[in-house]
Amino acid sequence: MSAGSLHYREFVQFQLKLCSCLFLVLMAINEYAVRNRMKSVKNIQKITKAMKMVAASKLRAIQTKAENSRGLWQPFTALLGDLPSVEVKKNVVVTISSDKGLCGGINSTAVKTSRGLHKLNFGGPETECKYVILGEKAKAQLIRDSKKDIELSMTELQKNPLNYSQVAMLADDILKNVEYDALRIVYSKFESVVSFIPSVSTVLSPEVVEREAEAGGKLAELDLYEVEGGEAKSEVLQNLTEFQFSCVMFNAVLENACSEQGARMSAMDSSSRNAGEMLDRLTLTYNRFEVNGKRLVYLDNAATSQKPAAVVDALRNYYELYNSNVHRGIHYLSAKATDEYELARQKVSNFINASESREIVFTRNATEAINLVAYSWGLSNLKEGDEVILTIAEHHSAIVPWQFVAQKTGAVLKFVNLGEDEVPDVEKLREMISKRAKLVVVHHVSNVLASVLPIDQVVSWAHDVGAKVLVDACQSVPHMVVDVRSLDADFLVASSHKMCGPTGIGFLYGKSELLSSMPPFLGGGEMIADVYLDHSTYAELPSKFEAGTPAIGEAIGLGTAIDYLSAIGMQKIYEYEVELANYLYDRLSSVPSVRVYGPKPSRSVTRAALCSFNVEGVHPTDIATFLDQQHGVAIRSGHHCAQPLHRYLGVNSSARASLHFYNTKEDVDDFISSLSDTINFFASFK
Amino acid sequence: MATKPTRREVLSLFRSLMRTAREFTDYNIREYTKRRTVDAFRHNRKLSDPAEVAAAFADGKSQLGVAKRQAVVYSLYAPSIKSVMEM
Repeated sequence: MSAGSLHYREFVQFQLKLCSCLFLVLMAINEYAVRNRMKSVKNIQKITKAMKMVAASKLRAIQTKAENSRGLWQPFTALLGDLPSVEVKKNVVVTISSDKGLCGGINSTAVKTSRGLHKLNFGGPETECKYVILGEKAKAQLIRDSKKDIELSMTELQKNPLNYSQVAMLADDILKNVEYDALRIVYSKFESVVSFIPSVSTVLSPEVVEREAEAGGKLAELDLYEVEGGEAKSEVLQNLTEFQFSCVMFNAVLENACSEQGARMSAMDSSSRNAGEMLDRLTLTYNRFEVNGKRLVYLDNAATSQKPAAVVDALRNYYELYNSNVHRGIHYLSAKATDEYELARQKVSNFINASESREIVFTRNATEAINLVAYSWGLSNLKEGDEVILTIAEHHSAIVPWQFVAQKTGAVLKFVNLGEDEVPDVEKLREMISKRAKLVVVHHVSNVLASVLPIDQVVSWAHDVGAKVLVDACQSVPHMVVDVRSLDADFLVASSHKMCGPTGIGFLYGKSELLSSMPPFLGGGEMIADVYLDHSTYAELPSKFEAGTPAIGEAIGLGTAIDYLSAIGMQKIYEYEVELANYLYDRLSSVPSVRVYGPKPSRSVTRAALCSFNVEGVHPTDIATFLDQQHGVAIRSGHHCAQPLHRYLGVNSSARASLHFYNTKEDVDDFISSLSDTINFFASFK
Repeated sequence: MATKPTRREVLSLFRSLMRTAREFTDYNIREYTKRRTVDAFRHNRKLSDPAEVAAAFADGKSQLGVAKRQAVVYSLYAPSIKSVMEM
């Protein structure tokens, strides 16, 4: 019981503390809410676009009819005139409107005009004005304030296509039930798809016509007509005016229907455009992606890079449009997929300036590529006593496979330490390359030290003694121009996901005579020529090393990434990144108690755009966690797959900020200010 | 009269509070715990008097106890529907 109440008290205390701080919460723009809103706006846009199409087709149907019906009342106007200014006692305003809404402002304009007419005093205080309403919209508006004046109202006219007999019945209804001296028909005349003029047509009752004709004036000429047949003049006039009314009504209803569709078209068009603008604004908000309520600053590009939309689209297009297995089918989809896959191979080959595309072998990643060389070339070419030269700054994937090979073959691994400027000692490396050295494994750019090794010199030294060179170019291919022929490297590996391509694909470049002499690595389909029960023959390069179904979509994505990078220009990217690298190094080294690893940049020494560092007295994991949670800055902490190097430097782990061409100086500034704040925070724990 | 805590102990307390925050199933309380911890440490950074530092440290330790127990209690009644902020 007591324990329970203790819990309850703490519970309440906790809740109170929660409430007191809750009002300090800053609601971050939740990407989920934005994504939902974007979906609903997109749906609305689809609906309005569809409504516009429907309105356009309906308009086309009625437009010819309306224009033809204009000819109906023109003779009447010639004969009986359209005289709105004649003074009458009983006015009836016939308002024509639509039943459905969303048609711009034409119904409101019609109602406004009707109300205006109603207010106008047609000669004398005994005049009265009544409404006859066609259409739901005008009825809804006028019933609010002029209920007593509404004589008659009809809705649902457009249920069936408009024709004369229907309108004639309506006109009959009106003429029978409403006493009138003048009928004023208010409708929207259809000028064009974007212009609708509210118009009034006046039809006078036969008595008024007679009166006017006798009085002289505009209708005086009516008397000149002789009336044939047995009917009296007044009867003829009555028939004529009734017919005039029905014709005018018919035309008015058709014109109004056209205007309705046209107005709906433009209304829907403008709302589609508004929805499009709203979507653009929302996309901008959505793309300024936020993490933990702060703008994301992504400084972990040495681990993996962000992908441009083109690459994601290429992947989606492959899976949606021409997903098929390569090299196996005859049909169109397979042919297209094969073409794209081989085109990607050609693009990679051009990107690193290989002599032919069959020197490019697609693998899962650079690690698998190095394992390929180790198991295929290493196991068959290394023997007891042979030396493999590496540096202690190599990535684990460049060390561990060779440890396997050394165990199996008895070869010896020799490591080059760092020199005084924290770069692998190039002179030492030269000395180590002796007659016994069969392979030199070097990185082009170090992912911890940011140093760049002189690969062309290393290769010439190695080739002098007949050794081969394997270059780990994972950190160099995405950031600078790499030319395998000018470097004269025997093997070169890189991974796609660090160069804005998808994960799951990497490649090995090998000189064709070298690759041809190597036995296969993985066995299976695709890499065989003929298979018998006890032995098989193998395919030509590069298929010999690509067993099974490859990562087709990913290869095509890599091709697109290469196009993207080439369009910008690797030289431009390199120059920009050198500038950024110097800026990052300067700013980082100016932060007190920060120790940056690697060489100092100078005229002769260029650094890559990354900095591994340690802060005195603060663990790198704490720094990375605090930066992520409080400032939205993403860096990496750990040994960066270079444990031997960290052991040499005397630390367990370090923090690393790495940049790519889409990072800006603003990102670096953000990072430095957040880092200073982090260091201050942890420094206060004295 | 408690002695002034060492830097390691203070750091350890900070890390424990953040780790305990992770265990809350409720998004709001999780974020609150993290925020409150950082704010509290920031607020108390200037303290120099050992008695005050010791008092703040003891307070932090008791809050850690509260948070740990509450994490367990909350997990007993965790709602099955995730908060919209977590999607």
